[in-house]
Amino acid sequence: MSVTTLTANMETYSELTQVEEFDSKQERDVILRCKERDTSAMGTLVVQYQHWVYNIAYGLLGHHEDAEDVAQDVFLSVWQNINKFQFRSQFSTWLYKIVKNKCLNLIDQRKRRKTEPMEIDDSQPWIPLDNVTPEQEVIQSERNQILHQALDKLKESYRTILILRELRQLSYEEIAEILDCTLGRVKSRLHEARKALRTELERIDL
Amino acid sequence: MKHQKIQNKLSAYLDNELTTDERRVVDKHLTDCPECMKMLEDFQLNQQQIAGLIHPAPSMKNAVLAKIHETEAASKNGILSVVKQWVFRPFTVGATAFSTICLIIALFYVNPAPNPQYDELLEYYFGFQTEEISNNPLKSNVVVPISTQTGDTEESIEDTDTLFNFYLGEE
Repeated sequence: MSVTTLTANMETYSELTQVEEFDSKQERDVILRCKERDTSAMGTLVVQYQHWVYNIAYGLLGHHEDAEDVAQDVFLSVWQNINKFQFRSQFSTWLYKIVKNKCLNLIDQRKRRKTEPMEIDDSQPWIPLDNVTPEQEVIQSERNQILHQALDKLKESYRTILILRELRQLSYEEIAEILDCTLGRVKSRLHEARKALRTELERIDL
Repeated sequence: MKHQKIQNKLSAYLDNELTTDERRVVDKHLTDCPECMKMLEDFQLNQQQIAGLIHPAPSMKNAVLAKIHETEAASKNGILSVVKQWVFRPFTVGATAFSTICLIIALFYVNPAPNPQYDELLEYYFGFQTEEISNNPLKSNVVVPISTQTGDTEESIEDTDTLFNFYLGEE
């Protein structure tokens, strides 16, 4: 990766970090404006959530272009169905439920077309959490690729729950709502998913 | 608590989702069981790895807003424009031509041109009613004014009485 690309990516990342998270009142106001068909409010909502929507989609699909397409499609669905959101749950939970459904639809379409599983596209850099040397970056990139391979081999339900919990760090209650299941089911499925990932990573390492 | 039962709780232990009592039991087991300890360490490592999979998201505000404007404009034009688009698309124009021909043929069969009933009605309503038509048994559904039938009816009743008397032996 060239220095220019890395710098550009770091600028994008630094822009992202500047996006302050909404408090619940601000979020409610923006959603109400969206319900009144205010497109600028929708723009604000996109900027606020694009990072997580894209990353969850990428975690589930393992491909940047697909993740971007799905993310845009998700926001279009949000705009078209915003009146169905009645503030009974958190907006983020409702949003991530749409992300999950769109991703699973795309995975189903791929299966129906009987195409080969997508190659893991790790062309974009991960976001370094601390200052890292180029060597560390290469090692990390390889690790990420292996991790994506392992995730790709897991059952969809396992991959989904791992991405929601480990990547987005959602609570068990939020996950239960997104996946339409009980807390007990979340606990057991998460444990099974972690065990399956561990086994898959051991298999790849061998 | 048995080893397997405790192992099944390791995930909840990692996420701090156990009660104080459950946590105490798992803590105690972990000091004696290297297998469970290894599993917990692996879970923790994988958790950190997945959390590090975050990529910079491309800015999609403009693309999303463009899509929104596009769909809004399409819905404003209504269903007519959708039909127009479908009918005149290069790959659907053949289908449109075929369905039009089928429709014309179907109409021809459902409503064929010559219809004798229409001819009779025209004759009746426009004054071409003749003796020939009203007496034609094949065109018995023609409505004939009662006044023109009165004489015939009375005559037929007389004929019936004569026949009745004949069979009873009365003259």
